[in-house]
Amino acid sequence: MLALINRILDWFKSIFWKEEMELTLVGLQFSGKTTFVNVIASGQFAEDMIPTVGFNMRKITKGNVTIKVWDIGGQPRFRSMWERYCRGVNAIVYMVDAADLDKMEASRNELHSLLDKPQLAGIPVLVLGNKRDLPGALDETGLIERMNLASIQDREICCYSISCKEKDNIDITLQWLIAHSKSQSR
Amino acid sequence: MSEQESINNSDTETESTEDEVEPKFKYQRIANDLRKILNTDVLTCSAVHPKFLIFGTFLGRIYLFDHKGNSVTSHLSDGPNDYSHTVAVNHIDVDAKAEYVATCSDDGRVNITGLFSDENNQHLTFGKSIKAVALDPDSKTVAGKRFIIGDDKLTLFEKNFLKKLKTTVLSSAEGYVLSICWNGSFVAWASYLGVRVYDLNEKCSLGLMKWEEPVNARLENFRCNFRWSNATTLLIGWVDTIRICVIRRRNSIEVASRDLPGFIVDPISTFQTTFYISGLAPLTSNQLVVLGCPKEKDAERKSLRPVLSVMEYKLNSSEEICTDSLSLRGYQEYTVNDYSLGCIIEENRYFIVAPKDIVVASLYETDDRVKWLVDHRKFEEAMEVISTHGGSWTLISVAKLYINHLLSLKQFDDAAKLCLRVLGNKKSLWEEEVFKFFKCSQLRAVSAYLPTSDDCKLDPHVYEMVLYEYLKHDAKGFLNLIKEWPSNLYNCAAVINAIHDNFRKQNANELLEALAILYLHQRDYESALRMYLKLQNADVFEMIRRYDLYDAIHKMIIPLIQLDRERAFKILFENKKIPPEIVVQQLEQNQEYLYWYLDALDKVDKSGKYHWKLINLYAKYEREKLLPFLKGSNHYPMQEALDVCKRELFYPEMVYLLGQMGNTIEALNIIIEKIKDIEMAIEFCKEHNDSDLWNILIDESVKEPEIVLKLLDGIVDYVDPVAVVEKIKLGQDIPGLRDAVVKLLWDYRLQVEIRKSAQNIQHEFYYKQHAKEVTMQNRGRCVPSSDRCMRCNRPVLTLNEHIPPVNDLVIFLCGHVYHQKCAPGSTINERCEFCNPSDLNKDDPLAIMLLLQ
Repeated sequence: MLALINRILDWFKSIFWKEEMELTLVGLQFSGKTTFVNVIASGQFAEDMIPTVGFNMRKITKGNVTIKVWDIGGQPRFRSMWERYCRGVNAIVYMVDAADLDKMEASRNELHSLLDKPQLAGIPVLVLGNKRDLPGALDETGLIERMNLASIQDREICCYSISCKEKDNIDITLQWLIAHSKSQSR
Repeated sequence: MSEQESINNSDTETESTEDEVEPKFKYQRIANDLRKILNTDVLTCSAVHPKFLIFGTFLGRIYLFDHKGNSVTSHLSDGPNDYSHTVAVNHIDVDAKAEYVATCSDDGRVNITGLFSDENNQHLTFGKSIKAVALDPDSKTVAGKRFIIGDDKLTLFEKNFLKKLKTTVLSSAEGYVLSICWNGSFVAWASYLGVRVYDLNEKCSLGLMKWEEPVNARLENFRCNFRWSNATTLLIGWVDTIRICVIRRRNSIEVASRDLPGFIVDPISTFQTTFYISGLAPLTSNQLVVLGCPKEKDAERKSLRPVLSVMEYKLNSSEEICTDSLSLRGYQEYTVNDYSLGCIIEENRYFIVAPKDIVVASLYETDDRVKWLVDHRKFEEAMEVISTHGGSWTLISVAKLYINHLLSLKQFDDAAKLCLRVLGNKKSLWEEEVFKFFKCSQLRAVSAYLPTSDDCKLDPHVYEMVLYEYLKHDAKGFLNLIKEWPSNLYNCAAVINAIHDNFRKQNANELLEALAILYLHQRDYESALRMYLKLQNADVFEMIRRYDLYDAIHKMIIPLIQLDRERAFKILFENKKIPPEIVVQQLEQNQEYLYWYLDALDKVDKSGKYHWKLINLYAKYEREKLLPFLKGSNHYPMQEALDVCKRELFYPEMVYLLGQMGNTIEALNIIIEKIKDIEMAIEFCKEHNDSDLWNILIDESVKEPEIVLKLLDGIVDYVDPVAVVEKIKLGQDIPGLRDAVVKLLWDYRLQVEIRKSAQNIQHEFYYKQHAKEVTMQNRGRCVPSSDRCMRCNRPVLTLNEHIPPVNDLVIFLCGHVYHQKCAPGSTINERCEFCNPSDLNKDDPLAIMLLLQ
């Protein structure tokens, strides 16, 4: 009986406060996209992940917000499809390995060529510099400069330095995401 | 009809076209992981979504791929339970939000699977094979909670908030449900009888659309293909008939009065196809993409290749816009129901699904069209497409290929015109393209179109290359270019050298003129002049004037005169820029020119510096002018002039000169002996009027009787005719002498009379004047009181009454007044002293004073 009441309460809650959002998570391979999804979904950090083939589909509920995540493979052969998965989402999360300075330029180029696509105009972008726990990792300022984020003027763009391993700044990242859910952004 | 060939073992389609119709679609085969699956399994159905593709197989498996064919792990295949079917999957449906997938199979199972969560998963088992399932397309609801399944009836399943499944049978009368297509509140479904549309809101069917049984076949052997092209338009392709229906609202009065459904299914177009239909999808508002399977079989009773056709429909008719035959893997083994067509309408992406092959057809985009046009050498069309539609090809890139093509066809002029049209003012592009012309030695074709303005000046080498080519092949064109192009385009010295290296006699004129122009550009006026002179080009004069080349022509005077004497002289005399000394010095080698020059010079320069030379020249070239010249000039040595005339036997000139020199006798002798002109001799004598001359002439008359007459006639005023008459010898017979003597005498008398008359006139005049003089002198004379004595200088009259008059006065005719006692001379009052100072007495002090005054 109690379960039934709970279920009814849930149902009411879901009707009146439920918010949904859809976001696409892209970035070069081994930047920690799937790890990030796991961390925000379950709070669990797992070091060894197999590279994503194609994409992963995940739904995460945080409070009254349901986040639908398209976690797209970062290997070069998947990059041409990034645009397809970014179409029509509430936000694009672009993951950067802040400790891998060698790949920074490739990452910057991929981000800018993705955002140049006319179909993605105006979609907010959150750039996450992952692995801040590693020595030599760039902070926000460094990322903004190395990724040339200042040149992106036609949309809302934000940059956080996070660590999935240490769960650093995951909270502010989630806050940003929730703030861009459907009901918030519309 | 164009034919699309694909090679089975290659990833990309290679196409060979038999004729030149621009294709509508490009085809790409999906490979990657999909290929591996097809090696062991066979596709039976598919569902496409903008983000992924789902395929069901003959073995009952469900696979999810990305758009490149990479297998993606999902709840469909690796969930906690194995939800796959045991036999062939019949139909797959996916909702618009990509959250739920519904599958059905001949194993009697229907699975509703959530891709993101398994919260609403359903696994239903029916006792019969299920051909069709459809999820609620409404994006506001959770698709997994509302779906329709068709077996021998059409059933709506809805999950209420208690997660309990409620079923509603929508229809059970039509027999087996073949396929379902759900859109909004309308559900289209097909049975063996035909097609129905069910209105979920009004819970009623909008009527049955019966389908004709095909000839020699059964309707149920064909799959019914549906698609909603928009909210109210349903496309149906079944067997070989396509019908397009529009759902529209019925007239409200009709609805109320006859208890009819609120909507009506209105077939707006129905037409037949030449093939059996495997699938259809919208392309534009009145065009369809239809996947079909030819009805015919090949010679071995095997299937022909399936076709993808674009059809434009009108009311009950249609037109095939284009049809591609597709070489899908294993097509010979498959028939109409084995193929299906998936579609992402908003992307115009069409998925041709064959049992062992999936090919994506996408519309030829601008870039594809341009590439095709370029590949088929339709460059003009390609450029047209670029200029109207843009795309990533640039006009220049196509134009370059076009130029290459035209050059390869040897249509050099067209290529050159194209350059002009597309290259604009882009220097590097021009240089690149011009080099191509250079390689085929056709710079001449492009030369007229090369930019020469300051805002687009190419490298000088380019122009030099062009000039060099002209020089080798077309001297005339070369000259024209030299004339036309500004000289700053190229290096003049280099071109001059090239001309010298390639000088050919037969083009001498053009090359010389070109050289002249080039030298002018280089300000080497002397060389330029030399070229013009070699050319005998009269422009040279204009040039001298324009560039003020008077100093440069000093050594070219003779050639200039040869070219045009009149204009040359004009130049020589113009502005006195060329000193005559230089001209004369130059012309010494050509006396005739010298003569012309000096003759002309004499008219402008009166200094007479060259008169001596001119005399020689007149003697040589134009004697008529010599005598007037001799008479007119004072600037020549007479003796030398005489020598010249003597040498040339110019007697009249000699006569003149001798006359001038005072040697009149010799002159007269020449007249008489050489010229034998007695009139002239008489004139000569008259001119000099020297008795010696007359005597000579008279002596001469003795020899020639006729001279006597002339002499008698002419000399009356000058010498006494008696001298002539006396010379006449006795007995000499002179015809006409009497008349001449009579005339002479008459003349003589006339002379005497004239003189007498003149004397009379003179005398008369004298007396008259004399009388007038006397009268004047006899007039009265006034002596004013202010007059002073010319001697004592005191007033002659004393006006004071108390002083008595001093003296008497003496007055002369000249008006001078003296006191009596002062009057000059002892012999009284002889002459006025003032008017005749010589009469003054030198000892008289008064007289001296008077002299000093």
